Amino acid sequence: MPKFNTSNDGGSEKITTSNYEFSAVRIDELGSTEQTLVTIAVDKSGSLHGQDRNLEKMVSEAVKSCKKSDRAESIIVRVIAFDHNETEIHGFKQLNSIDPDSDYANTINTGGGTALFDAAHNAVISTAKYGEMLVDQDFAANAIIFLITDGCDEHSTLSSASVAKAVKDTRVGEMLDSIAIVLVGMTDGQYATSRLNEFKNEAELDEYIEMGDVTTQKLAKLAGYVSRSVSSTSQALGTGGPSTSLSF
Amino acid sequence: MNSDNFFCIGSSHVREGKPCEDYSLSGEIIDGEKTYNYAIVSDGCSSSSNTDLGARMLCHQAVNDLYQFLPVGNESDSQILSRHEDLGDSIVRGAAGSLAAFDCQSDAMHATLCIALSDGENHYINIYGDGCFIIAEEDKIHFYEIEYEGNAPHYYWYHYKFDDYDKYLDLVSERKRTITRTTLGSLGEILEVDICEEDFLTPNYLHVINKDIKTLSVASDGITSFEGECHHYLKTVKEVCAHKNFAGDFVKRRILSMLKKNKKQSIDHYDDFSIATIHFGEINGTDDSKD
Repeated sequence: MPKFNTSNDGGSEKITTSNYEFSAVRIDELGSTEQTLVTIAVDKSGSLHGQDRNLEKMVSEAVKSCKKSDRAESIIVRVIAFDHNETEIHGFKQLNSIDPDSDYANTINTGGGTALFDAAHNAVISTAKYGEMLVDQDFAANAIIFLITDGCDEHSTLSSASVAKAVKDTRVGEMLDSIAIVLVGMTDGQYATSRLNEFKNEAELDEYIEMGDVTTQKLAKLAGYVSRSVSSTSQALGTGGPSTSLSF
Repeated sequence: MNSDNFFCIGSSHVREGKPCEDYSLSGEIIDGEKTYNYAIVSDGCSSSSNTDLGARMLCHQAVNDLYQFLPVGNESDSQILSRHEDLGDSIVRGAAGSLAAFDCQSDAMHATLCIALSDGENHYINIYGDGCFIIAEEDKIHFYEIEYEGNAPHYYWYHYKFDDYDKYLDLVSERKRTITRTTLGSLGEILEVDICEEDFLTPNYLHVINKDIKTLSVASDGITSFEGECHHYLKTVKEVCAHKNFAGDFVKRRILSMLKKNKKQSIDHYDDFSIATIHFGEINGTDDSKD
C-alpha cells in the first residue's frame, strides 16, 4: 500500500482499487467533456542521492509547461515518487489547480531501493480505475504514464509479467481511448539500459527513452519532453488513436 | 440551476457537402435578484440557402431579446400570449435586420426557433415553427413533438415575407399542425401518447409551474432522425435525458457519449441535431443509476 497524501485538498476524494488507494479530483467537479490523465512516477531511490531538488524541479518544470497548453483545462496530473515504496506526492489533480512553484517543494527525499515494477503497476491500475470512472460518467479519456528511473528493479513484490497483465487488461478493456506508457532511463550504463529495455518489452510498454546520466540540463530536457508528449496525447483525444510518438 | 447545449451535423448533410443548419445556445440571465436559465435551438430549412447563418442569427437575437421580454410574474394568459408574440416579432425583425447586411436575408430566415426559459419554478416554452421539447421528471419523461404537414413548418418569418408565405401555402394542402406528447417511464416504456391537431397559426407556447422537474430541454426534430436496427428514436429521447452528472458541459458529455455508443451499434442520425437543456437542482453529485 503506497503512502498516501492526506493533506486537505478540497474537491478531491480517495479512491480504492483492490491493490491501491489514490486520491483524485471529484468527477462532479469537472466541467469539460474529456480529460487526459497524466501520471509521472519518479524514482527517488538512494542512487539518486543529491538529486532531490533537481528531480523536484524537473517535475515542476514539466507541469509548468503543460499549463501553457491550450488543452490545459482537460489535463489531470498525478505525481508519485518511488523507492522501495510508492509515495503519492499528489493524486489526480486538474492542471489548473496545481501550483508548480510550491506543490513539489521538498516532496522528494531520496533513499531506499528501487521498486520499479510495483510503481509501474500502481500507475497503470490507478490510471485505469480513474479512467474507467470518468468514462462511466460520460467523459472521453486517454492517458499517458511516465516511469522515470535511473536503474533496474531490485525491490518489487510484483513481476514485469504483472505489469504486462495490468497494461493488457487496460488496453483490452477499451475504457480509455488510448494509454501510452513511456519508460525513461536516467542512465547511460549498458547493463541498466539492457535491463530497462527488457522490462519495456516484457511489460509491453510503448517506449523506452534513454536520457543518460542525471544532469540539470538533461532533466530540463526531460521536462520539455514530458510536456510535449502530454500536449500531443491531449490533442489525440477523440481521434480514436494514440498520440504521435515524439523524439526526446 | 444551470444549462448547457449541443448541436451537430447529420449524415445526410455530410454526404451532400452541406453545413450544419442546426444551432443551439444556453446560459443564464440575472435580472436583479432573479436568475433565469435559457435553452434555445434553431433548425434551418435544408432546401433554403444560408439557413445555417439564419439559425445562428435567430438564436443570438433570441438571447438578446430575452432580456427585454422577461416574464413579470403572475401573468394572465393574455399577457403570456402577448409576450410570446412580441418576443417572436422582435427576434425575427432583429435577426432579419442583421442578415440584411449579408444580402441573404430572405432564404436564411427559413429556420425554426424553440426557446425554454425558467426561473427554477416557472418554465416558459416558446416554439416558432416545428421542434421538440422534453420535460424530464424523476421517473418520467414527457416528450413533445410539434410537426407540420409535409414536414414543412410554418416559419415565423412568413409573418413578414408574404412572397415566401404564398410559396409556403402552395406546398401545404392543410393548414394544420400536430402536437404529439409521449410519456415514457423510467425504463423507457411508453406510458401514454396524446395527439392533438390544431391550426398551424395557433401560437405555440406553454407556461408550466413545477418545482419537481429535473430537466427541461428543447430540441430540433433531428432527434427523431436517429435510426438503426432495433432502434426507435424514443430510445434517443431517453438517452439524451440520462445525464450522469450536471457540472459544466453536461449536455455535451451526454450526447458525445451517446453518439460514441451509437457508432458502435451502427445507429446514425441523418438530420442535423440540436438540443439545449436546463437542469434544476444541485450541480455537484453524480447519478450512478443511469446506464
